[in-house]
Amino acid sequence: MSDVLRPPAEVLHAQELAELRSTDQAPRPPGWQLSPRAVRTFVCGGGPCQRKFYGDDVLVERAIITLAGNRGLLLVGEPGTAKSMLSELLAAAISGDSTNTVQGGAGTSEDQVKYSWNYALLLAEGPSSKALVAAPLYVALQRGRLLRFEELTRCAPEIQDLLISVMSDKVMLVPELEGGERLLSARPGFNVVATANLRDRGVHEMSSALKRRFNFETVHPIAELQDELDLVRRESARLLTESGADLEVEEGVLELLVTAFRDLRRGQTVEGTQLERPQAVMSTAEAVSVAQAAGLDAFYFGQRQLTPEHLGRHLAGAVQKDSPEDLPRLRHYFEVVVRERSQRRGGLWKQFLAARKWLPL
Amino acid sequence: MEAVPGRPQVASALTTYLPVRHHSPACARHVGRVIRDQRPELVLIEGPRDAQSLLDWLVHPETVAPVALYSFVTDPDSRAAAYYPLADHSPELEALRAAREVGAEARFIDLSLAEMQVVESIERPARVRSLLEETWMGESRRLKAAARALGRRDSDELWDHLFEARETDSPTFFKGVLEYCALARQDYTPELLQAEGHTARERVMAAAVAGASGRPTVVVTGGFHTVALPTTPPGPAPRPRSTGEVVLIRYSFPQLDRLNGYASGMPGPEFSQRAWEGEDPVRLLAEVARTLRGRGISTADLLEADRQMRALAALRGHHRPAREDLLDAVRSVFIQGADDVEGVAVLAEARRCLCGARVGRLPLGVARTPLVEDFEARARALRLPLESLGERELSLELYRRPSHRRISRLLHRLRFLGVPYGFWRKAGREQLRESWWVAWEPATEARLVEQSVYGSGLEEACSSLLLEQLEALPERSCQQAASLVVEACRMGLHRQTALLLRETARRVADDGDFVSVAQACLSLEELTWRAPLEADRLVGLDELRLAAALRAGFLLPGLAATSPESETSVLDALKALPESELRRPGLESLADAPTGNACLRGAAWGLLLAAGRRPAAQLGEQARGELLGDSGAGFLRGLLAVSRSALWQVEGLVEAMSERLAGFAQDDFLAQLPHWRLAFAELTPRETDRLARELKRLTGVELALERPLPASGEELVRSRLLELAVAERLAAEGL
Repeated sequence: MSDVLRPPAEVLHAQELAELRSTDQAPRPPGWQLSPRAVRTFVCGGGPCQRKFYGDDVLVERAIITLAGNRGLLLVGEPGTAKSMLSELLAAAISGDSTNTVQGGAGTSEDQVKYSWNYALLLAEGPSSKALVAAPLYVALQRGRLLRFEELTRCAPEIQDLLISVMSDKVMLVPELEGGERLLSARPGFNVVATANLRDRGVHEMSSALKRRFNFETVHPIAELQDELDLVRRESARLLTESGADLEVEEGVLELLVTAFRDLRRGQTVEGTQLERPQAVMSTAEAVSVAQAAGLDAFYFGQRQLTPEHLGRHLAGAVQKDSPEDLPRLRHYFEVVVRERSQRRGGLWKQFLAARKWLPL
Repeated sequence: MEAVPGRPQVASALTTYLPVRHHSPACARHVGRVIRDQRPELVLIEGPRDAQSLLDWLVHPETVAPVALYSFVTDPDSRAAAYYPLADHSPELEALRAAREVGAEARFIDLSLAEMQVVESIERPARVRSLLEETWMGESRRLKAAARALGRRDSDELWDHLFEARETDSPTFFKGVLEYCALARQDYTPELLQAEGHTARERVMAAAVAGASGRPTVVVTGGFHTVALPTTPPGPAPRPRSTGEVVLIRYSFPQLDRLNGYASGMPGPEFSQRAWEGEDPVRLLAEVARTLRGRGISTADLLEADRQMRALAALRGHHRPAREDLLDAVRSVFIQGADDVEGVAVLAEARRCLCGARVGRLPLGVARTPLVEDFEARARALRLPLESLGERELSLELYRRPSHRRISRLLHRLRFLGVPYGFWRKAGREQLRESWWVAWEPATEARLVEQSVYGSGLEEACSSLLLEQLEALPERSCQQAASLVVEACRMGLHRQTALLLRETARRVADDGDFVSVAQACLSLEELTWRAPLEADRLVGLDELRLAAALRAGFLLPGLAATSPESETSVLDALKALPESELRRPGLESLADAPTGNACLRGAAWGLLLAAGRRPAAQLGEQARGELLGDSGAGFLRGLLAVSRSALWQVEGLVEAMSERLAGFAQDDFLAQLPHWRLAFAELTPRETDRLARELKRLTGVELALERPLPASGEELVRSRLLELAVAERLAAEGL
């Protein structure tokens, strides 16, 4: 167990990256640590690398090619579809550094993006590059790295538009300094990976000038049940181990959870029954979170075995986020779908149906 | 590989098997190369055997692809039709052309459509069919798994990745294709092969190959068959149960794309065509960008997309950009938003560009079906479209312009024959213009070929079909006969209507169904006031109308015996019946019937009132009498259906209604409620308001009309009954 809650990808997968670097013979774009093919292998799996992104392999290819070009990459999609994770993996593989990140939000300021000052030194010695505190964009330009910009559309438009001239001219002006330091030119390897949620509350429109600096890639929820199940199983196991919960998970319990999430996400079961979709986003990340919570519950308060009842206990928390209508929808799901399945298949579904007593009234 | 029973075919060293995917430009290129290098004596191709005589036309220098062989069977028990489309980039067409160049004899060796019908025992879906189906490729589990393993999305992308986008020598290429198809063939059991007809077809093809032993031969067949063909024992062709025909028609890329969509064939014909012509895909990409200019796609975007396309191709190890490389570039660069929102329209445009709009041409000497030629000549004269360039809207002014009248007649004739060409937007009866949507498609020609059994010109074919439909009419019903008369006029077939009118008159005399006769009257009425139909040219029309009106009048008294189920349709027919003096005796009879259907009785009274034949006061008395009994609601329904103004014309009617309603006992009221509601159903909202005000004046009761009811009518009735039951119980208990 490491002493950090969540190490960055380049630390977590340091061995894989080192192996790739040593065996990679293909040509690399200027400033890149790996060739595009090796980056793909790192993200999608193959050779010495485990698969880390479960989604569209072709999307990863397009993303990598975009970053090797002139334009930035903008990953859009619903919450919980691993956009930030993909951004992190790409930065780790391409630049060897995924920490060069701006966390966008309503309060993000120019200082947090470009640079600010050590004011004591500034007042004492006047403007100099020593007194400048570089923010992620400055670092990316200076060292030829990828800038990660999370939640771009949550920033105010004037902050978003800071990127426009930098991305087209690949140069940033620092008017406070003089001479050669006044103009910071990007070194090869500089580019921007941004993520955005286009349809949520509290997001701003992107200006069309900014849109044209990016190639858009939409990340969808995982299409195949088996892939999503593998992901949930792996991630929840990892999180539970890190939390010290050595748990026994019965075969099929997680499949039950993932199936329920997929049914609610799509508004339709595999059998074809139509459901009302909850307004809360039933993402894979949410499923992992429920699995983790249920696992901890089972370990610390239960018999150290994860059962559907534990899942039922924590399911409401995932759903009850946005709208008060969502709880009745979840209850409807139990009454109609879970009941029918418990009659038809019995076993785990029966236990799951019994868990509906834990749903708040 | 599958185990084939019987002795294996002794593979002649002179026979070269070339497995192909239909409409694949890479396959076409390699097939052409091999034939030109080897210079065989004989080239055997998977194609319908009964089309052998058309092969020369296929390679005629004036024939411009895309064209298709259209195969059809017209026996009523086993109607079927199928296309065998060919483009420049089809391996089969390239094989034919190369064979001609090297002086080899070319032969089609697959079963004809009629023969295929005999050997297939699976259910065929009702849509149009391709003889070059490759559903085994699109549905193969193993190919899907292989695609996923290589990081491709589906088997089409896998094919492009392995074969279209790479340069290799021909032996390596065909070996790869064979392995690919063998993988898919493993999904098939012997039973399934038999049921889908593959076994029989392969036996016949093997027989053709065996017949060529001793001569250097090249065999070009779909790879699925090539897997088994060398070891398949020859077999005889099945005897067909019906006769089929095959003709050569023009075809189009949009049609090919759609057909291939069903048949799991190569998508994007225009892309394949450009690849065949050796053109750089950036041109097609630029065309996509141009169509998207309206969405803000600029030249800078095009440059970026080109870079993206080439870089993706390089990443994937393609020697030239494949179709999905181009589409992925479109996805990355031309979509400025989420791909399931803004992206949908962009990708649709891109796919349309990749599909293209090419239409083929046939040389002048090729035998065309006379019906097709007649249609094309007339369409050309009227300047109607004969190429698929999208839909055109036509607004025909039938009253003012003779040329428009001619167009209308042509379009109605095609519609009558069931030929897809024009779509008639039927509007209300008071239209001065006729609205059509017109679009040519290869199916237009195909269907004309099928319908040529009716005649060699449009007029002749429509007359024959008209007669056929006349003979199939029910004996005692004149409704359809009358509509046929109208159809004949729409089509401008006045000369052929003598028999039609006689038959209609005969049926009118025998028809005992009032609704049918009323419909006939209506149809015949339409003929008189719609001048463009030129009904004045019909001999005997006036007599027919008279006869129909008399018949209707004759049947009116009998309506008293109408059952409740047929009440609505009879009432509607009565309302629609054209006004004429001839019906009055019948109406009076119906009105005076002492018993029988109250609704129709009420309608008769209403019609007589409107015609001024009975005074309002008399109607008032009748109504009061009806209301005293059980038939009040029905009578009112009929009356109000034909004459709503009767409510106000007949003095005391509203009072009588109000009295009756007030006089109902609770249970009776609830039971009668639906009938009364139905009676007032015809009133407009204004009239309902006026009635409510009138009632308020009479009874002094205030009604809150604006409060919406929270429950449905049924629920209200149920709850009211429940309330009554509870009140009864309470009363019984003395509470």
